[in-house]
Amino acid sequence: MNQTVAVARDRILPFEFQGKAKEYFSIWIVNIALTIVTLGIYSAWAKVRTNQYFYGSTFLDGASFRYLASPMQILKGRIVAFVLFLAYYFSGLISPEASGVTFLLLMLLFPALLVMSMAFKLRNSAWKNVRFDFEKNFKKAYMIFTVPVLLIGAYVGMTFLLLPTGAQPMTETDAQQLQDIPKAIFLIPLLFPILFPLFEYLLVRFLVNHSRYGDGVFDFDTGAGGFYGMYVLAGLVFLVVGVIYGILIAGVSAGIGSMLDESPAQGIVGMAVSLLLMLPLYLWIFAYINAKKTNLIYSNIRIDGHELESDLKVSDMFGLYVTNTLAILLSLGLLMPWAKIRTARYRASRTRLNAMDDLDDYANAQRQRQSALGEEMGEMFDMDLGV
Amino acid sequence: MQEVEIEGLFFDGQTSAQHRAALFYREDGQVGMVGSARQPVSWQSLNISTRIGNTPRYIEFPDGSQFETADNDGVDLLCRRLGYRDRQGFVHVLETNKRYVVMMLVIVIMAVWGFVQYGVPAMSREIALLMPDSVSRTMGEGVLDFLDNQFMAPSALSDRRQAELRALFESYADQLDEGLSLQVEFRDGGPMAANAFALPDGTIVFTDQLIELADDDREIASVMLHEIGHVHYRHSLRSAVQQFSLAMLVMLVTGDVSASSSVVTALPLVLVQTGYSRDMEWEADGFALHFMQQWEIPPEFFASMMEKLEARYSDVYEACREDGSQVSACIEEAVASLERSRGGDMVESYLSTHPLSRERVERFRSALP
Repeated sequence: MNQTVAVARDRILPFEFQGKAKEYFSIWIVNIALTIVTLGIYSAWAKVRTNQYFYGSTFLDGASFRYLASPMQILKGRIVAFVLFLAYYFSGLISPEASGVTFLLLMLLFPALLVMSMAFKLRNSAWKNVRFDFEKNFKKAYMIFTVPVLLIGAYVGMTFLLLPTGAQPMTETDAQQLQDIPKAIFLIPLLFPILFPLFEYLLVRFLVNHSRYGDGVFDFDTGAGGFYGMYVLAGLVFLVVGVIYGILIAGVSAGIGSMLDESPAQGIVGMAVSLLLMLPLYLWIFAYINAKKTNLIYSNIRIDGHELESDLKVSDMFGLYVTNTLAILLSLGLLMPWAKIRTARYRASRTRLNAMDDLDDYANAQRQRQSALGEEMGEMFDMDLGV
Repeated sequence: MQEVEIEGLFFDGQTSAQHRAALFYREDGQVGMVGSARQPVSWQSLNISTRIGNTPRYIEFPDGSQFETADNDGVDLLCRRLGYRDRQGFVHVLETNKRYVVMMLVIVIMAVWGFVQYGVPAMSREIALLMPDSVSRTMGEGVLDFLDNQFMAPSALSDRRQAELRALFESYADQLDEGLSLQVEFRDGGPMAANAFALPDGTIVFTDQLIELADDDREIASVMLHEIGHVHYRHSLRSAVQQFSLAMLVMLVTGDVSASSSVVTALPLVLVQTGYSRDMEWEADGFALHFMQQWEIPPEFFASMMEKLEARYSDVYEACREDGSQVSACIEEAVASLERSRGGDMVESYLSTHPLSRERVERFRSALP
């Protein structure tokens, strides 16, 4: 053993992403080809390889991150998840009741799946030969989801009950029943936007506070205010820009109309123009939420006094999304690896760790391996929360 | 004995402390850390991570300690010299050889194209036909109720007219001998306007507006046959299977589920699905044409009905309606305008912006009666 690396106090350690688009393109295309040739079985290996490439290309304090999940674990999870996904997809075809039951089951399982998925992801991530970890607290997860699930459940249930069934016109008694239900039911949808930021905050806090690096405990050090601020501003911008666009679009389509003189193509051109105008707004909102949320979450994570910091710029993210979208569309998807690499590089370049002192003392906690089932099911049903 | 060294970082497996260190290996197969008190170990007890691009390699010792190095070539050489077999090493070979990468690219492009062009339609057709009748039946359940609640109203057609059309419908359905449980319904279409559609369970719905549009009952019959074609080929079930297959394809290529909802994948998906639904319209047309010819109904009736349906959405029709004229008068005017523009070099006609509608009309026009 040589000497320990010299340590200075209060160091700013930048994240660095060293992946190369050309290199990743080869990995990506070989992954897809082998997945096709093996009728999907290789997809588990492909996923591990992709993650290993992205983790391994990310450096902090001179050491890389490492992804440790085994493809066999993931394959087993994928098979179960695939069957469930199939059931979920086709239950809607069989009958509304079947899809209702499946949906309900999924809602009930969701918090557990989320916890298992986090645990699998973190336990299979390591840095400096010390693994991350996630403390599986199912009770808290279910508590966080109780209110939103009850709200949605009540709303869906009431709508089902209230809708008159059958083709026959509404009778007097139906109308009477409609009068009788409390008007408060119709306020439930209004509650969603009001409560959503709080819910998201509680969820992020839960996920962060139960994360570990070795024996180091993560701490989420902020209130829900930031989440509200973010969504209110996004909503206002959407409203203002939307109104301006509305005026613009009306003007533009009127102009085109007079040029083409009542051509039937007018409607189509007008639609295309308004879509083209809406796309940037949509991408901007996406960039705004993504950048702000990432900053809000990362900048408030503490690990024993070490502080993470992220300062993604909305304009940069917007530029990335616009160019990525165009590049992928124009290249028929072949520039997808390039887009992924430059996004990862940008994100890493804007993230750093303000370390209090040296980071040498995190001890490896020995845990049993986590089944891949949770993660893969979560993946299939799209609950990646980007945390 | 000769020793080879590789520079990197050493982690003892207990804590996150990192040490700049060098790993050495000897030709007798012993591997250890330079200057360490730990005993060198045999290479066979090591776990050496596979090479992925130029990301670092990790060499795990049996005691849980780990050596991390950016010196990929050095580790490759170690594996070769000591005979360490990397079972996934072939993937790196594929990734770094230009010829193999091009080959893989060709495989992917051919496979995706073939899947979208032939695989999905053929597969979904087979699967849809394999499903038991009960799936089709239950699939349509609730759809009509939903439409009734949301859009449509009871038909304003007289009972006599309805009975007349039902009789016509049954006379055709009986001859088909399909074993399909077909049933016809009439509704005021409301916002759905002049329309006809088939539910997977064999219920065929006509809106009053469509019935009013027809000048001859044989026009309505041709639309019935078209809709029976949809039921016959189980097109609702097929589109469900097609959608599912495409979603799986997107997941495969992009590697994650959320991608299927983003703009980048939405646009191509919509285009492909539009293509599929055109194919299905074409197939249902073929069904209608076949029986029209067999039963000596002039195919022209379907063509004229299509034109009227299209004309209903044209500007000429809209303008005429704004003047407060009769529906039938406006339709006539709109169709006449379509006819005129088709003959001349007029820039636009509604049909030419909808090539498929035009092709469909031509198909029936040019068909032998």
